This record gives sequence, structure tokens and C-alpha cells, in this order.
Amino acid sequence: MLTPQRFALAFGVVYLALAAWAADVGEPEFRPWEKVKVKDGMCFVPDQRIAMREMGDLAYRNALRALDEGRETTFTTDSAGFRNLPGIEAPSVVVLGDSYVAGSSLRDDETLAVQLGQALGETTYSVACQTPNSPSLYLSEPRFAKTPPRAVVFAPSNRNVQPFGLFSVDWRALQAQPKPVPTAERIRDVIASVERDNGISRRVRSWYADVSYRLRGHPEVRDVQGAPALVMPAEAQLCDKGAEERALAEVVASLVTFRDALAQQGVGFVFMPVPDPVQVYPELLSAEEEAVCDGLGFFDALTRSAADAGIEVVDLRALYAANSTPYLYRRDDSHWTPHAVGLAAEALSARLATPPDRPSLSVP
Amino acid sequence: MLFFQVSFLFVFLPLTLVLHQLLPPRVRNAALLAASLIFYATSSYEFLPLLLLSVVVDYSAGRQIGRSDDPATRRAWLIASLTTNLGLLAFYKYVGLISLSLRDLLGPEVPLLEAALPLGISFFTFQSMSYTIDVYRGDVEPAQSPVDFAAFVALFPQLVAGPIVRFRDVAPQLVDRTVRSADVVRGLTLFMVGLAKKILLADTLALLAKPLFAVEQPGFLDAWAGMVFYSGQIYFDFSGYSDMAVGLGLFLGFSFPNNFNAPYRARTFSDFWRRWHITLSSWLRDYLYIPLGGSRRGPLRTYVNLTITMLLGGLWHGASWAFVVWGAGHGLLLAAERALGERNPILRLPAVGQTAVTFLLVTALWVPFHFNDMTVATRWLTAMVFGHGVGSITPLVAGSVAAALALFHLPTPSHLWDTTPRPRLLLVIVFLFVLSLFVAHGRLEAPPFLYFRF
Repeated sequence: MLTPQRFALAFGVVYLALAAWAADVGEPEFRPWEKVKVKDGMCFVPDQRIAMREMGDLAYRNALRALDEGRETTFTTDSAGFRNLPGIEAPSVVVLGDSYVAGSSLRDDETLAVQLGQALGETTYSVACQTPNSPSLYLSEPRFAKTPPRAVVFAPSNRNVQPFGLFSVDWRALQAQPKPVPTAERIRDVIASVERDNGISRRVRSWYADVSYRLRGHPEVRDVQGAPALVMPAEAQLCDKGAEERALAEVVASLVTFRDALAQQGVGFVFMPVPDPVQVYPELLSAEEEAVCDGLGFFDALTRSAADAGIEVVDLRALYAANSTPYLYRRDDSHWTPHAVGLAAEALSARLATPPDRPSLSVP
Repeated sequence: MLFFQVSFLFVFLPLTLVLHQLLPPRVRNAALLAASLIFYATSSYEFLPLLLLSVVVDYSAGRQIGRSDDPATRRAWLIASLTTNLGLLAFYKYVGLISLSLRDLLGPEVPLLEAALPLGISFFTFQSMSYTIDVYRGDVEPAQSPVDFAAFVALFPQLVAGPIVRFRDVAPQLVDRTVRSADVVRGLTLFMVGLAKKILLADTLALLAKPLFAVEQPGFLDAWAGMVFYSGQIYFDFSGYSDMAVGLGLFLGFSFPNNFNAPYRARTFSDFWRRWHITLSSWLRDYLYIPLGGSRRGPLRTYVNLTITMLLGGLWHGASWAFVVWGAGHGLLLAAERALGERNPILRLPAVGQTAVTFLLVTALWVPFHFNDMTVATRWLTAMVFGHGVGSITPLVAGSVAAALALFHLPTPSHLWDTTPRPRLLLVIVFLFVLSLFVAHGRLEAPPFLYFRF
């Protein structure tokens, strides 16, 4: 006879098992970037060295373990909170940018600044964080005004290109005095992270995504050069936004202002926007995406307009299109591969080396 | 915090239940109130003061009405309570619609006003208001403790989406309640069934309906299939939530009224409204329809009262003309049914025919409710009558429609423990609970309950 008490007891066993499983709340961090970034801040916690097995951001977001490449990475930050090996004094070239330049999904020795340094045989330094306005970060560092580098490279990813103002901001002081957050909001954040990263959610999402992917594919997985690759939706690559929507004229005006500010210090400036995957591989676009995609036009217009305004530009889209094999982006991540970084470093190195057949860096 | 989230199921709920059981009875309501406020704050802390304002005003009004013998004083406090609650509703829910309508009428110089909708405002204001009205009428004694009253208004199981509980339903339990193991098990069963209804049925039907609703010019069958799925989605979603709320109430020793009773089995419209969102329809009956005169002032006035009641019931759901049309449609059909009486041709059909006709009409009326835009709703209704061709209904859609129609006839879970428990059925329910939990957590973003937006 099934009494309510017996039923409750049986259910209690199932409930406790589920609770134990859910209690395995894993760290939300799936890559070093997440572990070292300052919450709500622009850069990283200084003097860190993280070594871990990294999961690609797209594989993580889609819970697709089937496509997780799992790389062993190291992530080192210096005393200023930028990703550089400690002890770099007075660099000759400073590279500005976002997660591409900071080297999300790359090891310490694979970042653009390091590969550029090796190609040039000079000391290079990375000023790149989670902000589209790394020029202001650069201007906020008094050491660069005191001992300017010979050149600054600004390499934002296409999706982070936007007009920027130039200002000096003591961001470390801002981070030291965080805005007060209501307790209820903090609880809400904790709940959100528990919901996302508890044992049941993680495991079930991963099962579901993998089985679903194997049975009927995945809307963000494309076949690239004979192997599957996760690709950000075209919208996330701002593919549907044209030059006007992205305020191209203001972007170029910002670049000119920054170049002129550097020129006053005798510093050369090179602009090297990093294309998103669809700009190099338009075949990644689905038919529906292709119908609304104007982003390819934006990238070309950006490089052309910047060059027309007298800015030194390295056109990575053309370079990558000519060297599109092997695939230049991670198959489980939204960022570039070490090989793609190497190509960019070589191109930059050639431009910065001021060979005789090229004009010198545009320092008026 | 949603009922199926890990933070609710494995942290908030067990902690609350354990505290509730361990604490001495005199502080139980305080603990319950604290838990309910935390529950509300995790979703909508910005509007916590609003909830408390409603509590303070209505508790004070209830006390003053109870204390006074002077009709004018009693009336003044009642008006203060109604004005506060209806004022809150009007400001947060209808200011946008009013300003938009005025702008359409008077021109662009009328400013557009918008206010974020506080979670559960439609439910807690109605609940709170019914208390002062009942005290005024002498149907219930005023609450003796502000904590008890606040705990009643803020009770977390039904705070954000009902059922609309009346003070007189739970007043004895607020003072003295016992949590019996049989009730806990009954609550558990209800909770599990409710969760399965929401996750496995409502959300699946929503997925099936989505591609159909995306079609610009649907065929006749596609238009109907989409709306049958929506009928199922809203029923399983809302009744699933209500089942869970009633179940949670039982865990705490409260007996909340049932909100649904197989509504799509109804043979007439009046039957439908005795089975659908029962706590709202009875609220509207007792506090609106009857005070308007009900059926006591002749047939014509009865029809008008029915239409006004349902129209306002529609408006309660949201500030848009689509909800007004939905409510008015139900009101007119109820009035027509009343006017026709025994001459109603539907009553000449066999029982299954009566159920089918009522269901089809209810389903057609869901169109403005779902689209919340009269232009789109009109286009969809046109397709349901004339269609753009027959439609390209697939075997999956046809099979799903048939399955949905069959599911509408499942017995309500509230009766599961009324008869001899069936172990296999309970085993299936536990299995469905675990499966629902897995499905809910297999998605990065769980769709919230539909009625949260009201």
C-alpha cells in the first residue's frame, strides 16, 4: 500500500540526489580572461599568472562540449593590470585593442604584442582590455607621456569599432571605489550564476546541446574547410549595420584626433582593425543573414576612409582573404588563431620597419 | 526567482520550509513574510515599497473600518483603500495606454508616458482590495496583526501570478495552521504536475506555435493550428503555475482555492468562466458584477453588466485595446448566451459538439489576447475564417494538435490524492518532474510564466 509517508520518503531520496547534483556549482570561469578580469572594471587584476585548460567562449556559451578544443593556456598580467610579461620598461611599440589584442584564447607567447616583438626584434607592450576605447587607456598612463614609444598600433576588432572620445581617466582609482550595489541586485547576480553554473544545468545543457548537435546540427555551426566551426551569429558581428549606422565619419574623426595627439609626442600611429570571421569568410553567412548583411561594406569603407584621412592602415581583411587557409579563427571561440595573429604581426612588422619603398610613419 | 530554478527548489524553498516548521507558531508569519519579501525582492526589489504601501494602506483601512460605526468614516476608509490600489494599477498599468490614446486623439503635443510594470501588481492589489471590501461589508473580521496581513498579501507562492486568494479564505490558517503530512504529499504532487505542465507541455506548445505565428499570411489550417497551440500553451502555463502555487501553499499549511478545472471541457461560455481563472472570475463576480446589479435589474441591464464586467476583466490583463476587445468579446458572448437561454442553438448539439464550439470560440478570442495588437489580430482572425489557402499543415503539426486536444481532457491534478493513490501514476509524476527539471535547465534562458506580465 502506498501511503503518503512512503511516497514522501521515496520522493525525498530523489530530491536529495538532485540537490546534491545541483550543489556542484562550478566556477563560472571557463577561460583565464574570466578569472583575471576586474568585475565591472576595464582591465585585469594586476600581477596574476593563471594556467588552465581553456574552453572556447562559443563552445561554452552553446554548451557544446563536442566542439570544445580544450587548450592549455597561461595568462599573465603585469603590475599595471595589462597582459604582458612582468618587467617591460619603455617599450618601443605599444599595441592597443580589445580581447583580440589581449589574446583571449591565446597563450602568453602567442599574443599580438609578443609575436610583433619577435618579428621586429623590439620591446612591445599590450594595452588591451574589455573596452573599445583603449586609446584613452593609453593616454591615462603617465609613463607613456614620460617615455613615449616610437609607435602605437590600434587594433580593435571590427565589432568594437566605434567613435571614441579621448580623455585621461584614473581607472584604477575608479575600480578601487566600486559603485555601491544594492544587496538585492547582488543576490540576483548570485542567483543568475547559480542557475547557469550548477551541476544539473551544466551537465544537462551539455548533454542536450551535444545530442541535439549530433542529431540535427546547430544553427551556429558551419562547415569550414571540411571541419565544423562555431561562428558567432552575423548580428553579433554587426553584420547588419552599415557605415552610416556605425557612424563611420565619427570613427575616422576619432582616429585622426588620436593620431594627432600622438604626433605631438612624436609617436607614430598605425590603425589595424581586425575583421570578424564573416568579413574574411562571407560564405559563413546563411542565406537570410546574407540578405541583411552590410557589414562587409563597412569594413572596407573603414579602411578606405581612414587611409583617405592620412592614417596608416594595415588592411587585414585583404591579407586574410589572400591567406584564408587554414581557417584563421578558433573553431570553438570567437577570436583568432595564433597563425592569424602571426600573419598580422608580420604585416605590422613590415609596416613599422619603414622599408625604403614605403613612406615613413605619418608623423606630421 | 522562478519555481523551477535551482535557487528556489534547493535553497529558498527548503530553507523557508524548515524555518517555518521549526519556529514557534507566533513568529511563523513573520518568517513567512520575510521569506516572501526576499522572494519578491530577488525579482523586483525596486517595487518592494509599492507592495508594502498597498499592505500599509489596506491594513490601516481594514482596522479603521472595523473599529468605526460611522458609515461615513467607514466609507471614507474604503474609498482610500480603493483609490490607492486602483490608483497604483492605473498609474503603472494604464498610464501608457491613456497617454497614447490621448496622443492619437489630440495630437503629438500630448507627452507619451510609460512606467515599468511592477511584478504581480494586478494580483496583490486585487487581493488586498478584496480584504477592505470584505471588512466593509462585514464578511470578514479585520486582521489583528499587521504581520499576519502583510504575510497574507505577500505570500510568495501566489504573490506574482495568483491564484487571487481572499483574506477570508486563509484568515483561520493565518492564525493557526498545521502542516499535515498528507497535505504536504498532496502539495508535492500538485507541484510536480504543475511543473511538468509548464515545462513539458506549455513550453513545447509554444515552440510548435512559434513557426506558425511567424508566417505573414497563414493558411486556414495553419492559423487554427497556431491558435490551438496557443490555447494549450496559456492553459498549461497558467494552470501549471497555479498548481504549483496551490501545492506550495499546502507545504505551508494553507489551502488556496483552485484556479482551473479543465476549462476546455466547458460546454458553454458561462461554464468556461466557472472553470478558467476561477479566482479572477469569482472576484469580478463578487466585487464588480454583483455591485453593478448582477442579474437583478432586468435582462438588458444583466447583459450590460456582463459585458462591462468582462471588458474590465480584459483590461485587468493589460493596457491595450486588444485586451479590451478580448474582454468585450467574452462579455458579449456571455450576454448572448444569457439572452438566448434554452433557445441557444449550441445546446441542441451533442455534448461533444457543445464543447467543440465553445473551445473554438474561446480559441478565436485568444487571438487579440496573444498578439496584443489589433492589426495583426485582425489579419490572423481573417486567416482563421478565409485563410490564404488551406495551409501546409505537416503531420507533426496535425499530430500535435490532436495530442493537445486530447491533453485538454486530462483530469485536474487536485483530485489525485482524493481517490486511492495509484503508485504507477505517482511514479510517472516523479519521472515527469525530474524530466521537467532537466529540460528547464537544459536551456540557458527559461521562458518565464505568461501571467508574470500581467
